[in-house]
Amino acid sequence: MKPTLAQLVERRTVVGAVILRSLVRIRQGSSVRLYLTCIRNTLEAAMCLQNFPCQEVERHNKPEVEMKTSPELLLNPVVICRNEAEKCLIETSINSLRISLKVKQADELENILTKKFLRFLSMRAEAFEVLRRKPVQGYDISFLITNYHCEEMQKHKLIDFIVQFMEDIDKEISELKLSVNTRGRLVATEFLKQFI
Amino acid sequence: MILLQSHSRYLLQILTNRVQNIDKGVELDCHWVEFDDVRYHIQASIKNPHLLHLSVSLPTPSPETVFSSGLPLGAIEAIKAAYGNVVQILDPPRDGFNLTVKLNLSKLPPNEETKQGLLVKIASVREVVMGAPLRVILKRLASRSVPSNAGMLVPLVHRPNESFFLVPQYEKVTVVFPMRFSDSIDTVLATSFLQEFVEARRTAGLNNAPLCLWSSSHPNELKDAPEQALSANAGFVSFVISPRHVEGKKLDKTVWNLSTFHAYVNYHVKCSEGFMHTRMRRRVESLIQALDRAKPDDNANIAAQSKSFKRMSIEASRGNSH
Repeated sequence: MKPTLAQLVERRTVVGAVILRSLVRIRQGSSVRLYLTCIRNTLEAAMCLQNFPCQEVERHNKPEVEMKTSPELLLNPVVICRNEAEKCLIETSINSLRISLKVKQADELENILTKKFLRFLSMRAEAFEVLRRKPVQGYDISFLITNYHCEEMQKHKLIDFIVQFMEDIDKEISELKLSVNTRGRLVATEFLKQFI
Repeated sequence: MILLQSHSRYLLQILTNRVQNIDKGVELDCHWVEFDDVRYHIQASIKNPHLLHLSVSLPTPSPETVFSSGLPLGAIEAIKAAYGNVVQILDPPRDGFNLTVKLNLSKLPPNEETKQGLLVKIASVREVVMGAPLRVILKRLASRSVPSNAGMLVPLVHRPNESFFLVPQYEKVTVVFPMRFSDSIDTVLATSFLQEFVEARRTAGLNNAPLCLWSSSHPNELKDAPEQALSANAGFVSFVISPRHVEGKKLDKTVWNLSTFHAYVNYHVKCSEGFMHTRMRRRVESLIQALDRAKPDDNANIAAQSKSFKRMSIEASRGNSH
């Protein structure tokens, strides 16, 4: 069931239009809300996946975005940037979608906390189903969504999950940082009190 | 527990147990390690239930530190002064240890309170032995006498192959810790902790605390220090101790706090890592729940199906065909 050229072109234009609209909006102010809305809109447009068996090997069904064997099945990858440190890469194909996130790391402490937390999540990729074990190069964490995931889960809620995930990562890292600093202050104060 | 206690809790437990059940003296042979650097060994036999052999192995000193016959300077005098005739130093110590002492429990004072006090003191053998040279210098500061080695750098061991440095002067002693951590995460956390020490010192309530400084490169005091002491991945911390910090009873506390400063920071770094893991585990659970919400409810499906299809029994289908 190969999509016709016309179908592919149409899909590409729809995705393109939505992204352009979001990009214009994000330029006006780079708050988190806009960044996330842009990602949400792009995902909504990009997440039109269908079952598509492998063209090279009979009875195989592989995520084309990972295999990249036939260029006609791939769509243009989209990068959504909030700033240099925070960006999101969305690669789409006929039967699968790959989302890669780069999380902002302002200082060394945030860098360590992000690495630690995301490693912790990647190690539990089995439980998350849509999480990729290894991030795409240049990014911190990646998701791989196939048409099967879209079949067994509701599409809009899957998108909700991705957006919530992004929000949670930011929130968790800033909270972790705060807790380290609070603890440091408490530890230091108690130590210095000993001398008085 | 925020602060580290100066007595080894396990050793104190063994000693109190032994004193309480002296008639039921059992064979005892225990090894344990404290703060990753000091190793203890205690041994007792059934034959002489009053006698205990306690051995302590100290961290290997770095080349610049002076040790006399395997112990820090002044340690033997400090032991004799602290424990009196209850403790007898055996020479040579057991193989692999720096110090072996024989504890004679029958010589403990009869008064319950002083007895307990002495047991706690024995359990803080680490403070007595490792802190001996530090105590000598701080005592001189307390009495405000001009030290013979004013302005000279005094290296003291606190971790295997690592030293911290003292610069005794009239009216103040500067203590400099080169902080090293083996793990990169530990290093980053410790660095942020150490910067908090400087911040905390600036608050109003801690005006009388020792002056505290942190820098990533070695401070001026260490310009004469050997090369290997000048590499510290978590920077250098200096405390300026003045006579009011070592007056009377404060001396013991100060000695303990300074000689276990690294262990204290390390302990809290590990604690906050543990805390982080608990948090992250919780967060993973909440995220998995969020993902589960995306899956359509199975029960709802079954309910919906039962409404749109009517299951027919065999009899009913037969009845229909007729």
